[in-house]
Amino acid sequence: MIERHLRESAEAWFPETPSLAPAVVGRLPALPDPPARRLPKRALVVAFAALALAGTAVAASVLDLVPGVRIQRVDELPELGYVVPPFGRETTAEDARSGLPFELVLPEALGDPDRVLVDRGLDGEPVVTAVYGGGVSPQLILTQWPADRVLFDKLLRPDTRTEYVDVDGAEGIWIEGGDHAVFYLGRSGRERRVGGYVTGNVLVWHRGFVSYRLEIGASRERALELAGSLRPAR
Amino acid sequence: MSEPALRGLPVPPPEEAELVERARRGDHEAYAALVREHEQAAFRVVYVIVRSAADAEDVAQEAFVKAYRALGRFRAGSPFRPWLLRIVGNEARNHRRAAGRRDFHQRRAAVLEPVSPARAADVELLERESRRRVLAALAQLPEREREAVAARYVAGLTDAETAAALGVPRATVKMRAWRGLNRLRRELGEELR
Repeated sequence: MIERHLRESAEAWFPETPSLAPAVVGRLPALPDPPARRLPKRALVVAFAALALAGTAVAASVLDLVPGVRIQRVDELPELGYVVPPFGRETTAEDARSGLPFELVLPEALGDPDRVLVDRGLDGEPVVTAVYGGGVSPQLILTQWPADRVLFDKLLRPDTRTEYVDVDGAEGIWIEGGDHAVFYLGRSGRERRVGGYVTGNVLVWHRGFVSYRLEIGASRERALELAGSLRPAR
Repeated sequence: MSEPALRGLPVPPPEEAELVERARRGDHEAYAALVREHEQAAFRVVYVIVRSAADAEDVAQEAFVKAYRALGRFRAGSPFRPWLLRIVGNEARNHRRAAGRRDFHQRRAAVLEPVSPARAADVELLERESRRRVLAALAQLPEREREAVAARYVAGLTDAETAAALGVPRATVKMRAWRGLNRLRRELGEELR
């Protein structure tokens, strides 16, 4: 309804468009500027990444399908310990849900998560992580956030497989096998990347303006099944 | 006269890619055709950002001149409009930064003026009143949400075009527009939802 009123209000909202062509043409130089010699943008991105990661050889492959997640192929992973990323302060699903700019969803089949954590991205947007299974080796970690900026920077070795998948109608990437490094760029990302190795498989996808990352020590089919069963948290 | 016109058929405009290619070689008439094709979208994008019709005309003109100069960097075969709107949006934001917000309140007050008695007598009074309320509420949205909603829904740009014009990722456009619409729904109450 509001969308219709907005669409039909263009003539009232905007002044009449003036005819710009005559004035523009009168100001044009004879020819456009000659193109400057520039390095391809991707080459610059890869070069900066290589510098930032101190000695890590970055291959020319960057997957940008899922907003908020940057995936790069590397020949060797940087030296890092196995660290669970600091996903923020612990809270309850009910508290986390209030005030979110998106609907918090959880896998219906798994019941309540063992832990719910809330963090803020660099731009202050909330990042919610639900952890299933306790201890140092959780069975499933689901993170969801408005994908305004890159939150996860992932580095994959050549032996890690990636596959484009359909996640209940949304485009996603399944990452399986081998160690891959993850850099979590949460609130502390401005100062220093915090990262670790991820030993589970990972599914990332995007729906609406929210991106999702599901880390799980199980098969692709199980991950897709759980991703397809996400329902609003109660 | 060309053969299609003789048959009474409209002469199709030259393909955009061809116009761009000709403009790159210095054909001003080809570039004028591109300006005419996209001037409404460009003008509206500038207006969304600078909120002044007089300024919007100057800024849109300047953006078209800059886009012409930059044609050497345009990647052949890619769509022209998002590329153009990125330049237009940058120019508008630069202008806004330079101009500051000195007359923002004056412009907003103009938007909030009630409909005139003559217009209120129109048979479409209720529709007009609804739109007036929607636009008044739109004018009061936080700037980023207002820009996203106005560009996306009022100007009718796509998510990708809005993202190019506002210089933000598509996901950001979606989020700001979603928030803006929700705020409008809360503001306007049940009957306009």
